[in-house]
Parts: sequence; C-alpha cells; structure tokens
Amino acid sequence: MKVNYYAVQKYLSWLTGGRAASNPDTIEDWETYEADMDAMIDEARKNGDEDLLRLSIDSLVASPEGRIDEFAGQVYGYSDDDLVDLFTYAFEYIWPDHAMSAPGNGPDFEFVPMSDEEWAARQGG
Amino acid sequence: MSDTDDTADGGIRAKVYAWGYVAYEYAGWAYDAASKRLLGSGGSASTATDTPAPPPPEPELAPPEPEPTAMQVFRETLSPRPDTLKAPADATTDETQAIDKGFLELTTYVDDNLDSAETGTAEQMRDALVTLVEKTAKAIADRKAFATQKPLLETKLAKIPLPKDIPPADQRSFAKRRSKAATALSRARNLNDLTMIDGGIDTLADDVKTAQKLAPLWKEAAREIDAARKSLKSLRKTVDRGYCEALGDAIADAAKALASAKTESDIVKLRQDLKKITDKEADARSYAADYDSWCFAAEGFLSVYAADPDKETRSDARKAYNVAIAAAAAKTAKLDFAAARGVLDGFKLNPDVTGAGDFGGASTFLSQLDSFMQSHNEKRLQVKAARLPWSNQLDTALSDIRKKGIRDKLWVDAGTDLTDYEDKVVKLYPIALKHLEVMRSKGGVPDNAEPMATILAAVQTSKSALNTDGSGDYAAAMAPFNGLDADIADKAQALRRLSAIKTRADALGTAGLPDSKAYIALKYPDIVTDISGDLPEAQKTMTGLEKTIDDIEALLPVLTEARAAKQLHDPADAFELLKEAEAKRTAHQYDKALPRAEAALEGYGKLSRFLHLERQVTLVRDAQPDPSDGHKTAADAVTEAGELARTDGKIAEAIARLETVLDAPALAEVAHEAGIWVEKYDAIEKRHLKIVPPMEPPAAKIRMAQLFAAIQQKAQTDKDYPAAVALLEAYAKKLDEARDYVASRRRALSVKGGLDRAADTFSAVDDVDKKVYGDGGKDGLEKKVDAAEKLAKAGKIAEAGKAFDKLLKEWQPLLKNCAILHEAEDANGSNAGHSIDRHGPEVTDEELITRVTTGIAPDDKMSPTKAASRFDTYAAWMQAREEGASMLEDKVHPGPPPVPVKVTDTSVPAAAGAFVSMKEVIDHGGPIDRAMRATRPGVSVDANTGKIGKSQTAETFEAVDGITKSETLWLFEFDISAIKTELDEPHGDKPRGTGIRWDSKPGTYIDAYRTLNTPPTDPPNIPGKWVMMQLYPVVDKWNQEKQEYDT
Repeated sequence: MKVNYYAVQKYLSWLTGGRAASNPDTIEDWETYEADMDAMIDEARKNGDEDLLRLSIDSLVASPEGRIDEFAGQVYGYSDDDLVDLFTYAFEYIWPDHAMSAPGNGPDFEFVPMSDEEWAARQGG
Repeated sequence: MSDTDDTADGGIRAKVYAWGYVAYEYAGWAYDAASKRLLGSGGSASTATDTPAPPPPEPELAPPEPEPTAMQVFRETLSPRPDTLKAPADATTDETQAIDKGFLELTTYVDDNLDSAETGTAEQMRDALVTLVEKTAKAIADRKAFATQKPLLETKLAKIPLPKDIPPADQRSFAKRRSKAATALSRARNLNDLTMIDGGIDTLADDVKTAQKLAPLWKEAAREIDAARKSLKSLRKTVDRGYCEALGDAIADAAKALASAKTESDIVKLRQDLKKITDKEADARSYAADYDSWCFAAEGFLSVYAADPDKETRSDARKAYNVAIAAAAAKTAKLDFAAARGVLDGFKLNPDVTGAGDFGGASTFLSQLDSFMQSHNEKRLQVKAARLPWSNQLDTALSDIRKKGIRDKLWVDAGTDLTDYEDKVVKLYPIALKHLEVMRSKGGVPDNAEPMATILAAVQTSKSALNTDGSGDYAAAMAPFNGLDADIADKAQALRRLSAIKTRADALGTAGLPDSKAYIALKYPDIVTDISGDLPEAQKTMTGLEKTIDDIEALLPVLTEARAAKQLHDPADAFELLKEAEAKRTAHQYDKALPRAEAALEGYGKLSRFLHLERQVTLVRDAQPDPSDGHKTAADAVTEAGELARTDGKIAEAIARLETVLDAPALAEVAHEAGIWVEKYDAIEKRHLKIVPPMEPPAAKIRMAQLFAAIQQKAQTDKDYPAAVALLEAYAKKLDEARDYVASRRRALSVKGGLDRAADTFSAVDDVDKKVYGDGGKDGLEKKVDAAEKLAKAGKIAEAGKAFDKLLKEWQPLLKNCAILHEAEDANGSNAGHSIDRHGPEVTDEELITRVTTGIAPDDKMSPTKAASRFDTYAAWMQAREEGASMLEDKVHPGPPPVPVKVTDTSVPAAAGAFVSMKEVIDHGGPIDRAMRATRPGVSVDANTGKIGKSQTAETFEAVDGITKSETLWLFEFDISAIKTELDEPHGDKPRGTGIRWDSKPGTYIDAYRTLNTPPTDPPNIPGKWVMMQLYPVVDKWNQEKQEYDT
C-alpha cells in the first residue's frame, strides 16, 4: 500500500538529523539517540501516527534494499546497514513488546512522495 | 430589314413574303406586322404580343422563282429554330433570356439582310450563340454536379477522423486543416471550388491515415522512451556511469528523432537504436556487481596503503584508481563491458599500486568480507535480533575482524577470523529463527500462561547451550524447540499467526481503514481464548480473518487510488462514484466493495475526461454565433452529455457525445484552441491562486488580479482563445516576477527581523548597532525597507522585488557579521555553530563535491552525506535562521501552566516533558541554494576504525539548484555542571556503569539532581541555552527538472 514518504520521513529524520546525529563523536552509538527517539515517538503519537511509524520502520528494516537509503537525511551519510541498525534499535527501544517482521515479510508499504492533501484523501479524510 | 431600306422590286418582295408566310406558318412561327418581326414559337423571347399575325399580302402575279440569296438560304437554317440555338432545359431565366436575345439579334440581322449574298456576320453571330448555349449547358451540368458533390465532400470530410495519440503539434495542425476545409466547403460556389477543396481533403485524409498508422508506433516509441527514462533514474543508483551516459544519450537521441519522425521507418529505426542500448541493461547490471566488488577492494586498499596526503592532493595510487574508473566508464559507455573489466583487472598491476602495498592481500580479504556481507548479512542480522548470548557482541566481533585487516593489515588472520565468524553465523541462524518465532508469539497471552511459559523456558534452555563468543552446543540449543510438545508448538504457532494478523490489521488502520482494523480486532479476545481451549476453532476464526484481510488488502490499493482520484476530480462528491464501494466497505463486505471501487476508479478517469471535454465544448458553444449550426451542435452536445453524465451516470456515453463536437470539421479548430485554453488556464490559475491572493501588502496584488481578470475576459467574453492563451503565457512570466517579489520581500523582512534579533542578542558587543545595521543605523535601514514597501503598495511589484533584492545585497556584509556572531555563540560550549562552515555562501562547488564523494566536509571534518548543500547568500541563511527562531518561539513547554519558549532562554522548566528540541522543515517560497546530490553510492573505508561505509559516499552525483526548503534543528543544550558528579563518564565524573548515564533528557537531569541532596529535591529549573544545531537546504526529493519537490 502507498504511504506518504514525507509523513514517515518527518519522524525518522529525528533519528537521522536530530541531536545524536549532530554529534560526530557518538554518531554510531545508537544508545545516544534515545532522546531523539523520544521526540520522534512523541510527535508521532501527537499526530496519531504511532502505528504508521512502527509499521514503516518494520517494513523498511524487513526490506531495506533500494529504499531505506531514501531516509538517510542529509546530516550524515548513514549506510544502509547503519540505518537498519539504527531503526532496529529505535523499534526495540520504543516498542519492546513488539517483534519485528522476518526479513522480506514486513508490512507491504510503498513510500511515495505525496502532498498532505493526497495523503489525507487516501486515508478517507 | 425595314421598309425604308426596300428600294427593290415590290413583286419580288411580295413573293418572298408569301414564301416566308408559308414557311413561318409551317414552322409554327408568327409575324409581327406592327414591328415587322418574326416571333419564335411560343414567342418567349421576342417582343411578341397577342395580336394575331396579319394575313400575308396578296400575291399579285406568280413571278418566276428567283434564286434565293445566300442570306435566304442561311435564313432557312434558322427555321425551325435548331436545338443548338435554344436555351437548354434547366437554364436559369437569365440564361434563357440571354440566349433568346442572341437568337433574336441573329434573326433580325438575317431578316434585315435577306438579300445579302454575304452571310459571314450572321454565321459568326450564330456560332457565338451556339457557344453560349453550349456554355449554358455546361454551367447547368456543373451546377448539378456541384449540388451532388458538395454534400459528398462534406460527408467525406466529416468521415476523416481527428487522430488522437499523436504529437500535439500534429493534432493541432490536423484540427486547423479540418476547419479550413470545412470553411472552404461552406464558401464554395462552383464545381471548380470543389475540385480544389477535394484535392485538399484527399491530402488531409492521406495525411490522417498516415498519422493514424504511425500513432500506435509513435505512442509505443514514446512509451519506450519514457520507460527508459524512468529506468535510467533508478539505474543511476545501481549501474556504472558509463552505461548511464550511453543510455542517457540514447534516450535524448530517441526523443529528438521521435519529435521529427515522419515515416514508419523513422520510428522503427529510433526504437531499434534505443533498444540496442536498453538490451544491454542486464550486462550493465552484471558488470555493476563486479565493479562494486572491485571498488570495495580498491577503496579498501587505497585507504590502508595509499591515503590522500590532504584534501586537495590525491595519492599516486588514487590517481591510478581515478584513471582506471574513468577508462572503464569510457568502455562501458560504448557497451564494451569486457574491455571495462580488463581495465579494472589491470589496476592491480599498475606500478603506483604495486609499489604502494599488498593489493592482493587487501583485495582477497575485502572480497571475502564483501561476499560475506552480501550472502550472510541477513542471517547475521537475524542472529543479532534473536538476542542470543552472542547477539550484542556480533557487531563488535565483526568490527574487530575488519580492524585486524584494514587497520592492522593482518589480511590472512582477518580472513581466518571472518571464516570462523561466518561459520558461527550460519550455525546460529536456524536457532535464531526459533528464538525469533517465540518472540513473535509474544503479546497474545501473558508470558506465564501457556503456551508462552513453556516456549520461553525453551528459549532459556537454548540460550544456556550457547556462549557469548558465538560458540556453543548448537544441537543442544536447538533441542528444546524440537522437543516441544505438539500441542504447545501448535498453540505457539497459533499465537504467531494471531500476531501476524494484528500486524496486517494495524497496517490497514494506518492506510485509512481504522474501522476495518477495529472490526478485525473484535475477534482477538475470542481467538486468544480459543487458542487455550479450542485450538481448531481459533484456527478456523483466524482463517476467516485472514480471508477478510486478504479481501481488504486487495481492496485497499484500489480504494485509496479511487479516494485520491475523487479528491482530484470530484472533491464535492457530486457524482458519488465511490459511494457504493465505501458503503460496502463500511458494511465489511470487502469482496463486494472491490469491483465497485474498481468501477469508481475507472469512472474517475472518465470523469476527468468528461469534465475537461464539457468545459471545452462549452467554450466552443460560446464561441459560435447564436443562432448558428455550430452553436446548436455544441449546445445540444453539452446539454445531452450533461444529462447523460449527471442524471443517467453514463459518463462514457457523455464523453462520446461531446467528442462528436470535436469531430465536427467546422468546429475542429476552435475546439482544439478551447482545449489548449482549458489546459493552460488550469495550470496558470493554480499558480495564480498560490502566489497572488496571499501577496502582501494588499495593494501589491491589485495589478496582478486585474491582469488575470483581463485574460479571463478575453476567453469568456471575447471568445478569442488563441489570444487568451497568448495572454496566459505572458502572465506566466508576470507570475514569475510576482513569485520573486514575494520571496524577496519575505526574505528582506525576515532578515530585518534577524538583524533586530541580533542587535538585541548581542547588545553587549562593541559597536553592535553599526555591525548589525550599518552606518545609517536602524532608522536608515528601516527607511530603505519602507521605500521598497512603497513601491509594492503602488503595485510595482517587479520594481519592489528588485528594491528588496538590492537591499539584501547591500546588507550582505551586515548579515555576515550577524551570522558569524550567531555561529560563534552557538559554538560556545557546544558542537553547534557549523552551518556557515558547511552550508554558508562561501562554500564552493568543489567543496560540496568533495564532501559528497569523499565525506570530507568543507570544515575538513569527516562528515559523509548523500547531499551537500549550501545557501547561496548570507541573506538566505539569515532568513532560514530567523524563520526557524520565530517558529521556536511559537512553541511552549507543556504545563500546567504552559511556558512560552524564548530563543534567549537560559533554562527550561524542570519537567520530564519540557520542550527541548525543535526540528522543522521550512519552505521559504523562493530559491535559497544549490547542492550536489549523490546519484550512485560509492564505498568508503576508514583505515583507522575499519569501518566500511558502503553507500556513505557517492561515486556519481548531480548538481541541483533552485531549492526552496531548509531544515533546522534547535536544541536546548543542558548545562550539566551541577549534576556532573552523579553522571557516568564521559559526561560525568563517575566510572562508566557506576552513575547515571547522561542521555540529554530532562527527566534524567531531574533524577540526577535529586540524588545530590537528602532528602531528594527537585531542581528549580534545568539550566542551559538554545542553539541552532542544524540549518541546511533540503535536497531530498527535489525535482531538478520541475524545480519543485516531488509530490
């Protein structure tokens, strides 16, 4: 199913362009990203997008090839492996009681850039 | 002949009269005694009267018969009047009168010269009359032919279709030619006109036939070119630049050839030429895989043995590498992949390479590592995710292996370790899958309830057979799962099945079907109960749910597309195309909703066409005189199509009805022009509405609004669509000016706000007013802003825009002063304050390229990125900063009571939920920068850490500009000096693991502070300062061709 790329990127950019991503000394220490993970989930919950964020991360980690790099942001050149690690860490930090999908079996999300209006319309708004 | 002329013997005359009388009587002719003129039979063209002919004069004697004169003999040929001298049937009155008049003149002349032996003049007159009769007969025949042929030609023209799916220019040309022919036909007056038009129609028909024959080929070629173009976009990320270059050139050539293609063979040839390149895609991909492996080994070798001495200087081996990849790309551009491989193979033999180090050792290990990552990384990640005893050491272990090779150059040992590592991963993988299965069973029932209690115990037993270094008794680790009681295993499997159902249902919820998710969730409690008590029933219920979810998942893509189409084409839902599908969905009849949603989606496609056509034909109608045939044709079509679509719901039929108007030759051209107007108007109106109504000050938009109204009037009142389209095109340029004005004004006012903020923030700095406002001070600067604003109020937006631009240029030195002050302040005690260094206007294109290709930022720090961007001016940078700061000051710390945030705050409330970070993307409404964006990821190897950054850097990149958005991150940087004694290293004084780990959370500060005192007390607030940590132009999803972000 088509999901608004921008709606998801807005949240994930807390990880790839937030406080921890801005600290070159600990750039690959995922533990230091927890404050950003808090900010990310707070914002998603405020917007009613917690499931969207959780399933998007699950989908990206389960099938990262050719698409997870779209969420790397511009602050740091995270490799695909970095992003899989970082997003996995965030998933387990935020939703410890949820298991991630097996590789290749994640939610069938297709991340497509679309306007807010189109995204709302697709959701029946 | 007259009496006065008659001097001859009366006897002769009497005889002639007698002869004439008999002859006339015999021929049924009459004699007008008064005028002494012969009357034709019926007297139609003569001066005949009703007066009966007088009796002929009495013959006196019977004189001897004289020899008739030549004229008399000639006279006899005119009686009876031959058909050749009569007006043909169907002659017009004028034609008949002209012929009779000619005959009368002839006979009068003959009669007047009966004695004459010379008949030449009479014969000429007769011949002329014969010619006139013949011409009249031909004219009559022509008229008849004209009357027959004109409708035939009209039908012939009407039967020529208006071809679709051909280049727009050709379509327009055909429309014009059809209308031209129709107009000429309507103006044709004779057969000659028709003959000329007929030729034109035949040529048009031939051309249309050719175009129709070419249309599918043209369409197919266009589709292939488009597909190749899309493919190239994704291929750029994968295959090497040489093939991309070849493909890009081939696409450009094909597009050019298609635009000028006139024959089938032209199109066939361009398709073949393009196919020659696209057919090589598989070869290119295969080569790319080899190329990637080679790059991996070569980059690793270079980073270990031949690092560049500095940012500007390349090592000799690096130069050889660059030469090799350029040479290989040149070969692949010519599709010679074998030769390209040869070039890559030759690299290791280059003296600059062999002299630098052990390429063989490095490449063997790096190839092994690359192969392992490609083949086993997924298994490795599963082992890591399974939380086995080795899982949290997995990354470190691999890192150590990389270091052993890349940092310590112990290639053989590193290779051996990697083999061992791989062996463990492979052996642990099936065990990890079992552990992951258990994790995926969680959530349905409490951990201490069955089957979870048993399978979690199995997990623990399994773990106990494994060691933290990845070794262990793998069979023993697997045994607890293999030995599970079948009932427990089945129940665990049922829980996993339920978990999968929940995930699928949650996904439906995010995609706009929350009620479906809730509907499915209603069954969860029963399923959980049945898993414990009646497993078959639970399985049955889940089978039903899975079928339902299958139906919903089949429906969802169609439904969401239809919803998007509805928003686009029928936002007011006047046609209610989706109503039935939504009703079935709401009733959870998803299988029934699907065909209805499909029909609706198809319907919206038709509706879009119908609405466009309806507007087009309405414009055609309005452009025709009322009453006229054209007006009636279009008006009837609009009315009938409207009823078909709106009342009967027959949109396809409505489209067909409207298309009859487009097919009417006489209306073809105006219809085409109306169509162009509708398309262009919609695009320009969209831009107009975005730019003009929000323009400030209000007076600035008046002129634009007037111009736009004039264009509308040109179309709506004057019905001059070509002229209106020309005006629209001119207005588009005005809109560019307006957009630039809006952006310049916004930038100038934001920057002015930024200057005021800087003056306030840095009030303690010497000469701050001069540094911030310049020699004229704040008043002088404000006067200049007012002058520009005055131009805007006068509606002179182009001039106003230029005035604001001029101000922004003048302010550059001041803005640089402010930017430097801000950056210095941000950097004080923080790692913030690098935006100018990395994204400032003084960063060069070369530095952007260096960063994107090597990871070395303009400030010489290692900071790889997929896109390196810069602000083109200090004004753009200051605007972005100020607008970010303003947004930050719109935020509040949640209460109670809510506390507004100020950029200058030196503390935040001591609350776990205090607002301590803001990340926003701001669209500035105008271009702010340029950037280099990675197109194909490259490989980077860090010789110090062994870190391999596949895709961290770019092998190829593209330049982009015109970007309008910036991303900004504001952070509250905590002053943790008061709690340092309670924190772990490196932030605090305590050895790691003995104190509190600092994680930049307000709650952690409060917890640490509480430990300082007994009894614990809360801090009055949390000290620190706001810094702008990030500010950079956003390249992500920028469409360089369209100059806008993708949507």
